Amino acid sequence: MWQDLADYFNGMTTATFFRVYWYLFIIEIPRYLLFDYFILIMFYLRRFSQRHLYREAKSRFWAESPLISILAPGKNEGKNIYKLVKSLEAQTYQNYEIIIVDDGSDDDTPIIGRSLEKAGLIDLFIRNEVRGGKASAANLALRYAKGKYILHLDADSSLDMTAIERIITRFYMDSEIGCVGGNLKVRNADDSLAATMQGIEYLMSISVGRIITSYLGIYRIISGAFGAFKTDALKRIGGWDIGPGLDGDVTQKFRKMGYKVVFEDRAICLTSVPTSFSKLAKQRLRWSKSIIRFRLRKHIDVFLPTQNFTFLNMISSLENVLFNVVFAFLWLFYMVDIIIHFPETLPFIIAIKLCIYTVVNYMQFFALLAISERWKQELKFLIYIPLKSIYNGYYMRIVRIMAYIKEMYFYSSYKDNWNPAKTSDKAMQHGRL
Amino acid sequence: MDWKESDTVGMTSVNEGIAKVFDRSKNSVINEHGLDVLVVKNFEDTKIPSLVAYDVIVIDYYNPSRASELLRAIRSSPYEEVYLKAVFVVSYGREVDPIDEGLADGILEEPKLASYISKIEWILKTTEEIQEVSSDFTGRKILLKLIRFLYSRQTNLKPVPSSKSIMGYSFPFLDVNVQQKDYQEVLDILSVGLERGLLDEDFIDYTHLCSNCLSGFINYRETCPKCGTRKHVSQNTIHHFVCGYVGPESDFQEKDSLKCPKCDRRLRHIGVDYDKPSLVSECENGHIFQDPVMKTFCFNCHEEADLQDLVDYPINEYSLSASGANVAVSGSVKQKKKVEELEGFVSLSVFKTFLKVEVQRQKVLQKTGSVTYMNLMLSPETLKKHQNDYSIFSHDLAQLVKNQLKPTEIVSFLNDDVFLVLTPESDSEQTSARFQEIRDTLLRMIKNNLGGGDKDRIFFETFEMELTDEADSILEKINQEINIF
Ligand SMILES: [Zn+2]
Ligand SMILES: [Zn+2]
Ligand SMILES: [Zn+2]
Repeated sequence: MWQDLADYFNGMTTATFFRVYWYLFIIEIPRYLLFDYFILIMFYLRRFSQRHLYREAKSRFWAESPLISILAPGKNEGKNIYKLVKSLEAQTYQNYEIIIVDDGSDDDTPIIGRSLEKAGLIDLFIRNEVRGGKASAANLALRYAKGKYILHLDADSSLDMTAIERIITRFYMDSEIGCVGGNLKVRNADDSLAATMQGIEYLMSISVGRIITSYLGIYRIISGAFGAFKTDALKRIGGWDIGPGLDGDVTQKFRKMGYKVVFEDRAICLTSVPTSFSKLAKQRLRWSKSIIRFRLRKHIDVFLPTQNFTFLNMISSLENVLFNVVFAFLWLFYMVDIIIHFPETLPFIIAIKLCIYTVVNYMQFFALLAISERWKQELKFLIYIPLKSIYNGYYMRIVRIMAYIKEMYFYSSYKDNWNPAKTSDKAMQHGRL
Repeated sequence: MDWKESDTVGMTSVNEGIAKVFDRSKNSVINEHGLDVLVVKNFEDTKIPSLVAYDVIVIDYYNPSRASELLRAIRSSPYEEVYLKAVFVVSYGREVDPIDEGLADGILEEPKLASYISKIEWILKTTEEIQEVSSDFTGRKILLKLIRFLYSRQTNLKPVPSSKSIMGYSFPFLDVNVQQKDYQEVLDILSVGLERGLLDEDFIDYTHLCSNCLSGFINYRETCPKCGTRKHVSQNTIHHFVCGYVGPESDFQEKDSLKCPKCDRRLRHIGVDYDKPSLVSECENGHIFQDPVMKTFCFNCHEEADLQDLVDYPINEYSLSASGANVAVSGSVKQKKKVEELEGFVSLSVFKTFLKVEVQRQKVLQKTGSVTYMNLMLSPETLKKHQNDYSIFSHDLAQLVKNQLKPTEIVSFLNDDVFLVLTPESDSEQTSARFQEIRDTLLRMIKNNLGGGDKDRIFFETFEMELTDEADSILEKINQEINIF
């Protein structure tokens, strides 16, 4: 076996090396390692040089102390609401109202919510007898929100003490900022391998990806689990459109209105993630389908020279489509090519690639731990890093490609029972919204 | 009773016949199935004592308030031959007040009694039977009246829904017999009847009453949970499926149609392009809520309270028990006689005599005494335990009481649960303190020796006799408290 490996390396020329590993060296390393880390360094340099601006913004924010409306719409979230309320009580910033919309729960959520409302722990609890879907529930909460800013949360998330203060401060740094995404970390990373891998993914890929895109001005998706919006602007665009992918959709509408959309990595929210790979696949299928549905269908106009056209919006969508959709199919093409032309050395190729990725991943991991606020907790990910290349490189890619194909050819997101059929049917009829 | 002294009997001669039946200015007498029937049309001419002469009274309902007045006067009379009289209302199709209906023995379309003959005969028979017994029933007279009324009608005491009753339900026969429309008294009488095994109850309904005054005249107010205001409007929310907008219906209102404020589309078909998932209220101060807080407002005492403060009061129908029927005819409660035979106890009439003597004596001596009543309120559990040996039990009880008293004290056992004690030449405060001790001792002994429990109660009150008092006025005072003579 080791002899075979030695033979394999000896028999390889520079030309054949690139013939086999081109995807790694041309696409992945430049994009995900060199480019990212160059930007990250720039990002931290700028943060350092602008730290006085941040401090000033913070004092302006505290001087004004605006009312924040915290919206947490959802179905069957009763058991989480109390924990959410308690986590909010610990916030450094306390001028907020909590609005919970119960989207047709069939458990004891209405009883829990109503009693919390009576006890004065939440300000408004609205019960919808029939489910209308996540967007409509959020819109109903928005309709009655009185705050200057909206903080949209999942009921099962909980916030670091300073999270509200930090996410809202960003609005005081630049008046053109319309919405701010918060940084999600995985609370239940210890629950299962699937959850652990997502913990690593949120830390290394999702957070970093958002810092980069935010720095470049092309940040696209403010997660519904933790995002802040200017209330008047959010009301002007009519709130959320029906999902899936409503988070990306609402962000896109802010961009189209000319608002800046930024990521605040220091505003941290812990969220619960799916604990099995099959549930995770379902969630990611939904996320990935929305790229097709929203980037390539609903908001295709960002690529067109209309009066709303901006270069950054186009780049933002383009980056999204390129790095996700195009590269996914490129990778598929690459793998098929390798399987057909180098079937006998396939195990070596895969093993070598995994080794290279693992080395790169460890470098990234340590760099991120150095700047993380909870590195002690995150150190436990250390032994799982080797699995990251399989998780990211194979599992996620395959899920994504399946999603793109399903959505492109079968419009499957319109049939997803994540939304009630009544809304999906309408969206489908009215020009594939 | 001022009816008693009246003399004239307004009646027309039988000879003037049926033609006069329709003459509203005059009463008429008809004879049906051998019964003398007085048809009352002229209320001025109708005096209560005169009614005794007829077998049946039929009241023309052309003047409901006068008819009602007469019915009440008959049923509240203290005389068996009056309050047990068979009385019918002839309505000629008019609506009859439910209370009046409850007081009457039947509602007639026209003055024909054919279908009621057997009922009337039973009433006549039992009235005669009852009249012959000289009653020594020492409980509340109203209770005996009720029992006799129910017995002579072979009927139950039914609660009648009535806006005139403060509780919402009325027991017509009792209503006209209690003094100041005090509903508590009606309930007390019924519970004494139950306690003594004369009545049985059967649940009919719950009424929700003001906890402050037991009134059922309650307004229900929906108030804002945040500021308590009653001014708020609620409206449906509308969910527009295609764009996901949700807001109150007013957001969509445009002249006569509904139009989405987000996407400007006109709403056409509920269930197809929109639905109404919830109801949301907004108060005058801008508070939003779905669950208004229910408050109650009592029209009677003006108390505002929470919904859960209302008292759920059971309303029952009462029927005569076998022992109740017995009492109705005999006019007495069996056990009583045995107790009176007890050594050291005197009957009420003897007690009155002693009282008169004492009153005279204290006028001479210039020293006052006092009269105390003790009311034993034994719990149903305790009474149930002694169902079968009740006479022995009450004998023991009487003995216990007697043992606690001084030799100079005169005691009368009024009925199963009330004692009267005359304490000559005494300070009423001291006497009262002594009776408090006696009460505690009795309760302890009932609990320890006679199978009693914590729910047994004894009430007592000591009345000081003034030098100016007469025996009757003292008893009158006591009767105001316990209502038993
Ligand atoms: Zn209010
Ligand atoms: Zn609409
Ligand atoms: Zn009241």
